[in-house]
Amino acid sequence: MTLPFYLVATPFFFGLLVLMIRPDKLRRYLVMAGSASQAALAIALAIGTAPSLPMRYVVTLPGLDYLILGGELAMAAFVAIVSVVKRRPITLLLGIAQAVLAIVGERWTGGIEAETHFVIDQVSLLMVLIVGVVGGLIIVYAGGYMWTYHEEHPAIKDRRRLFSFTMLSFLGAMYGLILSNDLRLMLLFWEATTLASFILIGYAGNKEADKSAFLALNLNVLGGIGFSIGIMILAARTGKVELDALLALSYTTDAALLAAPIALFALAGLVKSAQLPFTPWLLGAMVAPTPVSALLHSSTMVKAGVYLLIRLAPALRGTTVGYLVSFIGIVTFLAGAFAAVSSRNAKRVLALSTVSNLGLIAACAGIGTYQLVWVALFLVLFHAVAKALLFISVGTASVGTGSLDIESMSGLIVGMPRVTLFLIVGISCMFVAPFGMLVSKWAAMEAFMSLNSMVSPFMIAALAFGSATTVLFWAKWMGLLIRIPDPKAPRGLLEDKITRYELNSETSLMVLAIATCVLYPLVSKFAFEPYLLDTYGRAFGLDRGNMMITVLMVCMTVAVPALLLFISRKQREGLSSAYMSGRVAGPGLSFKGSKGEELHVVTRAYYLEGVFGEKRILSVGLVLGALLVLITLGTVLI
Amino acid sequence: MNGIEIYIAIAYVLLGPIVGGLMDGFDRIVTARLQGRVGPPLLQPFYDLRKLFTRRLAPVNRLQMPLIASHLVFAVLTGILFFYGSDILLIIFVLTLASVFLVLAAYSTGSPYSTIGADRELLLMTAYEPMIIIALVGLFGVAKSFNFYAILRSPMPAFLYLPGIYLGLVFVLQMKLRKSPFDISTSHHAHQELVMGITADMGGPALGLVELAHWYETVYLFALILLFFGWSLLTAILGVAFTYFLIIFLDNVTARVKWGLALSLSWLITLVAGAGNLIPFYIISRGMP
Repeated sequence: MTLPFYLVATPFFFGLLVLMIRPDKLRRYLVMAGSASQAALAIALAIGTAPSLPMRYVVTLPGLDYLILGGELAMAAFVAIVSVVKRRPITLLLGIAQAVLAIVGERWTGGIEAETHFVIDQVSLLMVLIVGVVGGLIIVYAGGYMWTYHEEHPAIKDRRRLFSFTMLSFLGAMYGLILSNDLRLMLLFWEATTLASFILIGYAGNKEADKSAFLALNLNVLGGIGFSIGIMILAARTGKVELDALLALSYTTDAALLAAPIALFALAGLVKSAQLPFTPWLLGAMVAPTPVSALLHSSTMVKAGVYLLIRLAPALRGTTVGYLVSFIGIVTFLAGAFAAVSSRNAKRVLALSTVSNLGLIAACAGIGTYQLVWVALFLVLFHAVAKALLFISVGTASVGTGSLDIESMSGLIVGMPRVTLFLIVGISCMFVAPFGMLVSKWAAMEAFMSLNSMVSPFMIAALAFGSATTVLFWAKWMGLLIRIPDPKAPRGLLEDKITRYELNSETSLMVLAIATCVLYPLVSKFAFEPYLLDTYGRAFGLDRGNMMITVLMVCMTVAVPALLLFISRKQREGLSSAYMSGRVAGPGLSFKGSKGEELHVVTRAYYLEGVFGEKRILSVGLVLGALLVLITLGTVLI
Repeated sequence: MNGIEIYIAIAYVLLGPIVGGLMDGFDRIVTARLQGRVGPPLLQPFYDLRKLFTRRLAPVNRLQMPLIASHLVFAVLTGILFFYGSDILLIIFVLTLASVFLVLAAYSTGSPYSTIGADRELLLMTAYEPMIIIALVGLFGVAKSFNFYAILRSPMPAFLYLPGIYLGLVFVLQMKLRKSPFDISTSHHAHQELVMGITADMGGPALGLVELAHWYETVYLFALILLFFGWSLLTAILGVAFTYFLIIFLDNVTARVKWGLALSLSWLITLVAGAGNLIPFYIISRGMP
């Protein structure tokens, strides 16, 4: 019981400490210490338990169910209070429902003793490491970013103590959620992440932030309500309240018996991972300061949603609910990718891409074969690292350029060469082979091909269209970054505001992003293949030769341009100017007009509103998603 | 194929440009004849290339040449992996990487012509990629393998199972081969499309490298076509030759389209001819052991 307990408790402990300490400098050190120690504990847990997985822990605490009830009631009370203060009747109703369900749930399931409360296996370790390392680096970044954030936004009330407390506690709640096997415990931490994200999204305290925060709260509390009803149905039908018991039963019992709880858990997961029709809460959440977005999108919140889906995958496999989850996922995958083309706001592009990739993960988990679970796990890993890097680099870039418009990043390579490098690595990891996400997509295609099901040609076609579209918006953005209007202009002028916290955490994440692409065959061999062997009785990995090719290619893709750049580094003379129909006027893309006057050229990127209009695509997606959710509920309730 | 793959891959590196250049030269002659002209000598593309390399290197910025060279390196690498017998689905994704380097080289200049060309190239990539993926999945369905040689030796020519996919592939190859009606990002005729679009700011040896990469690409793109006819030597030669003439013919009889039409047409073809072929093929082949 010791190590997992400390892992959950450490972030909360440092969080409370930070909440109580006023002096800025001391607090900052404490935040860093908290971030570092929770990451160290996560790594220690991974090393310590790795030889003897899976590990099971029983909590022998008398009155544990009352403790859980107390926690849930406290959170419901918090929801009720903020909804009254901010006059949100719907939220109030949801909060009351949450409280009632917590009490009914305690009466209903409180008597059931769980056999194991916490389980650590390879998948939970992967998530623990993502939360610890990526989440920890984001908190380090926030230490520098929030400083400048408040300088730039004097109107926003400085509540950094609350901010740091919530960020740290968020990690603690994630650990609890990941390690819980008792679903009642998982629900407690599940609701805690909902609250943490609510506080963080609403940090700015203005009208827009409030609106987004309450949307996120409403939807996620609703998902949590589904979760708790799911536990009650499960307990009533089977007398069990544990995740592993549910999975074990799914192999032996009649599928109809478990369909309702599984569907409700899956829906809670879909809400949390912002799948259609629940996507708007995540898109709204981008009003929050950048570190919050980075945390929500990479290592916490949305990953908690897909984590639950991946956990449920063995039970979803081959069921109607599983296929429906998969359809919701693939619709979200396509809609997110298409909508991202027409978006100009950098954070929105990142958010839509998250939604899209999570859709693919949900699609894989819904089908739930061992190959597709392998793919889903790698998508989680690669996405977490690359998206964290992208979000925090976009945050730094926006401080330099003063805008989140991706047009304002045109020529960023001149003004902010280091940040541009971070962005280029992040973007490459998202859309181009041989980097992680594309390798996973390729593996997904092969997995769908070996699937003996009618859905596979449709899934493959959807993957083909979706992944082709991602090229469109990522490469366009990369093209904007590397535009050099005047090669002789001085470089790095916009980088003076970057703090070392930001630089360190960006550099670490960049190294981590490339390292995961190089070392993923090891992760597959030592973590995912044993897990699949345990769960499915069959292991899956990509063909070793293919994995080696991708690793070699990653090295080449990094080394070849770097080497060529190194060779041409001295080439300052002999540059010709860009083609301006023969009438170049001077440096910086200008040409002579008909009267000899100097005219400047501005090039912009395309957004293709007419084809990929975000509003239109998302509204179609919302309708489709809502329809699929209703069908899912219909199939299990009727 | 016992160990012969490595020699074929080496031969590709050495002879690829010669084959690609000859195909280009022959293309020019056929095109000229179709237009009632005599046309240049067969070796004209090689004379052109030699001339490009005698010119002074004058890049627009320091990023441009490394990116162009990377484009060539990864275009060649794609072909090496292809003929070495690696997973062709993986290789097609690497092909995207090569194209991305070219697009970035054009974007880096910031010039309006290069930028428009790069924009259009990205649109074309989005337009052709789904069809190529579906084609490879179809070929996998026939041969149960992603190995070039295994597909080549499948008992029946894949064309018979995948006529729609073949047509769709020819359709999108017009884009990859920079042929009309889809030569909107750059064309072989400098005066025609926005000052050659994506290559507007590439001159001399830089343009030479791009041309060389294009020849390498041409070879394995036609090797892809070969996979549809790999039954006997005769069908292979006839099939590839027919496709080659079909592509040149289409180049000459079609008028260039706008980007919107290029995208929607190719996605429509991909859905109708590609997915419309793949799905029934999949249903039928599921019934067979």
